[in-house]
Amino acid sequence: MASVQDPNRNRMKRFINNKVIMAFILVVVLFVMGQIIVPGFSRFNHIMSVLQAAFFLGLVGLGQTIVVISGKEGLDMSVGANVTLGVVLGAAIINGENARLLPAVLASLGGGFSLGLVNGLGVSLLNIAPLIMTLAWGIVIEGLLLFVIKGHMFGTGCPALELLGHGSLRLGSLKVPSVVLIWILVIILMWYILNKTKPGHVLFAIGENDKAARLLGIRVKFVRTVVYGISGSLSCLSGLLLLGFVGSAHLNLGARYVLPSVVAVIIGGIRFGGGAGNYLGAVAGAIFLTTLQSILVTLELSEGGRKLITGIVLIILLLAYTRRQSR
Amino acid sequence: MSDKKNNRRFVATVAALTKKPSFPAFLILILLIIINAAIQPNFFTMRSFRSNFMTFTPLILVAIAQGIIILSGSLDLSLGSAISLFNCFTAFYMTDENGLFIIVVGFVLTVIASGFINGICIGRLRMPALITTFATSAIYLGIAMIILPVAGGYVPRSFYTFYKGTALGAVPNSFSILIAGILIWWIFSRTRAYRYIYAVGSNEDGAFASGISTWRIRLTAHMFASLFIFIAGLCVLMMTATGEYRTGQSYTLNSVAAVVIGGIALTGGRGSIAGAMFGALILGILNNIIFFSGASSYLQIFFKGAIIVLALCIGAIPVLIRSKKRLVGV
Amino acid sequence: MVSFEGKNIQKRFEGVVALRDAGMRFEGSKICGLVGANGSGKTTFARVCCGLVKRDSGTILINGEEVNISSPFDANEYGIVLAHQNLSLVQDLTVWENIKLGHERSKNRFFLDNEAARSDAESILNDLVPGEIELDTIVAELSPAHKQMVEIAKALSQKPKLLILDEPTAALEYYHVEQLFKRVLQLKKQDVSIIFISHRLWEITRLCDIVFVFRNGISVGAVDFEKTARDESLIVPMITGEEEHRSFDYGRKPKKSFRGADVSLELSDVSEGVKLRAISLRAGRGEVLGIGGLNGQGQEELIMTIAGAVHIGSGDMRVNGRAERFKHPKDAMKKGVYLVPGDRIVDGLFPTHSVLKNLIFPRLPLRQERFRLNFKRCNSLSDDIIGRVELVPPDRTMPVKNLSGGNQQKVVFGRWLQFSPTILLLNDPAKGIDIQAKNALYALTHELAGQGTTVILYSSSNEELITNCDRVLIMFEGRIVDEFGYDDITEDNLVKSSLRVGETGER
Repeated sequence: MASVQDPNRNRMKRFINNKVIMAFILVVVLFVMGQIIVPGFSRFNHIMSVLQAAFFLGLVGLGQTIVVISGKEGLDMSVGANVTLGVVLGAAIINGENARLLPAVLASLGGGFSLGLVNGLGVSLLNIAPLIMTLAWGIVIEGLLLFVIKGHMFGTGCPALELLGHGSLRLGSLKVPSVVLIWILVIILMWYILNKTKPGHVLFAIGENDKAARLLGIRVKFVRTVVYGISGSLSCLSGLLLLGFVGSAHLNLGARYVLPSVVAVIIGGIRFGGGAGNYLGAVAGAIFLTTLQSILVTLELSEGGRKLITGIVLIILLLAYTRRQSR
Repeated sequence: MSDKKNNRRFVATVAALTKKPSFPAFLILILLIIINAAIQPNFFTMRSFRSNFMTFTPLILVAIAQGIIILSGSLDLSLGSAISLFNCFTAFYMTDENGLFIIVVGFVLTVIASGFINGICIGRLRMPALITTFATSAIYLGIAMIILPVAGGYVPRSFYTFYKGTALGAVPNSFSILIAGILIWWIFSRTRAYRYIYAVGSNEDGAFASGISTWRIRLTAHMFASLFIFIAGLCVLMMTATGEYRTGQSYTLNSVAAVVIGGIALTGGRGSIAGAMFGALILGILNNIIFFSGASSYLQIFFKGAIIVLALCIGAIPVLIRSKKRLVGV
Repeated sequence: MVSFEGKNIQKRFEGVVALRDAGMRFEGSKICGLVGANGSGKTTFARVCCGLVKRDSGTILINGEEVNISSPFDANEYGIVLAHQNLSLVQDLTVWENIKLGHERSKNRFFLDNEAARSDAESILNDLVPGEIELDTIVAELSPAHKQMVEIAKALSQKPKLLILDEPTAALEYYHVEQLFKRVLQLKKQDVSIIFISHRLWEITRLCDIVFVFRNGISVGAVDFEKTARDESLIVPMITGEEEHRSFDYGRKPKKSFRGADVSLELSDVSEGVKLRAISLRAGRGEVLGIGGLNGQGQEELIMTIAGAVHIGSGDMRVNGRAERFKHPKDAMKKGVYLVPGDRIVDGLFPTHSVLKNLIFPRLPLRQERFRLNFKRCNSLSDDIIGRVELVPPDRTMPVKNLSGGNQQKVVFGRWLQFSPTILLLNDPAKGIDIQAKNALYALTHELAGQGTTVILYSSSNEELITNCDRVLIMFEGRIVDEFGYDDITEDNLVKSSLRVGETGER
């Protein structure tokens, strides 16, 4: 029941409750802290380079976002393996030639999609918990990859890819990385699809209440399966672009995206049980985590320390956001 | 006259055994042992038995731990990281003098981390088990990595020789440790709490209506399981004689697969720990088979992952059959 | 127990008032019946007494002293035990483990004494159902009747002073009922009091010493069989409240003839497990066909089957003459069969989403709705619906969880106003909603019927069936047992048919 309240107080409450805004505020706080610790941290160009690094997590986080929104405590733990797949596939296909970029893109989208479908089938048809299904399948993919390439990578990226992944637009003394531009496009596209189109609404519907959605004629199992496929292709694409960013790659590249992508989604206030969420929140989450990582590296924290902090952040978020009903 | 009656009773008991959820796992185990024996010529020697159980024992212990947790309706993805934590902690701090003391500290650490923290979060605070233990897994692994970023530390030689050695003639010590663990479990299975674990896992509301304090039982399950994690961690320490944060990792998913193969339902309340043990043995023997088949090490990793996926799919089938009966499925 | 009294008990669940002013009082060891129509609060009262549910206010007195019961453990201390309708059995444990669950026997502090527990369970079970149930069977494998008996045995093993039996006989075979009655009478001799909740009036009049009647969460009276004759007709008026002023301002729908009308829905011999048995029915265009009977007799399953949400086990269904076998609600919707589900929160609504979204989601599977949603059209469609259902407040951006129950139901119902349903299935649409919303919904129903929609209406309220239907079918235990034409749809007929008054219980 809507109650009569002081309108200002209401707006304030909504402002604080808006998790996306909170997430961005956290990002700003982090940049301020960064500036204090390392002067020059918050220069425009450095912010841009942090955003550039965050893009790849953000793209993986996009897949994670739609998987989480799709409900049933959806998660995709195979994103790491798919990123690695993208790197390997990209290098193998392109092998230095610009002309081979397009086939590489198509292959990574297609390959990632098919692998993701397996996750979707396990979750929708066999009712296996998404976290476990995707975790196990991710291991299978990684194992297969390792076997196929027998421990060493072959092939390289191409100049066009490097331009995409690593290049930037110069405006005077300012450098705007191309991936940041791509990211802005993706964010706008996502906003449009999720809010203005049929597929977007179907996604929210099945995440919010899949029983009701089924009774309204929506083919829930089909949609969910496709969603996991899309997540697979997004992480694979991210891997491909990562190849352009880094130049060459080693095999453990993908694994470091798994945990952070989950944390980013939760920072962004996307509901763990599904049915609601704003990709912008995951964007903020990705930026937050990348910045945090950057600061921690500057503070010379080891990989273990960073993992620990990430885990603690996740626990705090879980405590705040996801407790089940008490008796 | 009484012979016939005894015969009938015998047949009835055997028939009852075949209906148990762990029976398929038992059959598969027998089959795999036969295959392993065929591929590996010296399978039935004492030497191979000893070396097998050096690797089997930790996995069986972790499977028991995971089995108890899953029976209570929960799940724990941090078991492997807890082992890594114990491993790195003890290897780092251990010297020839303080060995026992460090082990005791390690014990307390494991029970608090793996048992108490997880148990309170999942049981009392009612956080979702999967992702909570995923988070605690990152925390424990992170701490382990901080303590020992690279393999190292010190383990007294006596540990390794003990684990490798035998007692009472030819009984391998690693096997004896396993028997001790199974004994501990057997004693626990005679308690009230053990039955309540099944009740809570099978029907939490019904258990509550019967006067059971469900969060306490959940906490008990996690804490009892952490005991086995400690023993498993000890075995890993003795086996590898090093601190290495990577060693614990494979145990997590393997324990889930072992539990599922062994016929324990992931939803809780159904199955027996014997099944989990069979499942762990199956995984161990499968590893042997894959190893002796001569496949490249990368293919081996693939197979190990594929087995887990297969186990999950098989485990999902009985749940599926039951849910077909429900009214509005999705 | 010397005396037991519950006074002014109130309980509210998330906006629905289950108990308004409920209570009862008796002295000495008695067998007390507790009866009432659907939703009268009987089960809630039982759960309050045994600590499963915390009452909002009111008092419980045992032997004259006020007691505080806030968990099953407390209730147990006072000797109050409830035999559930299958809630508390652990499916994966054996019969004897279940019977002793919560109060096992132990050898010493830690270990269980399974032999002693098993023989305890054996003797309890044998007092109840001698020789029929194997102690070592896993409960999941038992028949519903046996499960119920184990549930009762479990309650008995706690040595209750006050035993509450909630609908114990619904699942039982005839001879089990006899055994149960025998045991209950034995218990009375052993100074145990019993509260016996049942729909079956013939059992109540046979067994009980005194009968308490609940209606709409209020205790409206008692019939003391030690003072009057054991006559069902003394109880029935209290259940239905005939003397009371009817609370609706809605006249009965006018009689209409459907002779010669097109048959839009036809079911022949439709069965589904034990829930639906050989259902055959026919409904014409524009007809409002009511389905009545006690709760849980298969009405919901029937509705869900027609809606395509549940597979048809066997039998045929024809919509507008064409044979159909819906495998998914989408198939049903394509043929113009639409469903208003029974539990609006669980099956009907998207709680945190706006009214607009909730109204237009059914358009999502439609082919004619384009990839890019036409929000202008959706907005005007929803405003139109909001106006027709008289939604309060008429705000399409409001999250539906903030609406009152009645308005939520208007949203769930109103969805279908944007289509012209061939068949509209209503699964207890007015349950737990306010008068205004109810009237608005039924007004719209009749509008749709007037335009040719066939309405299949399941309601747990006889009053709604009387006011709104052209014909009423009564279901009992999965079968259609009675059909009433317009002139025969009366309160009396419906109640007696639902309660199977005049039945002896043998089949």
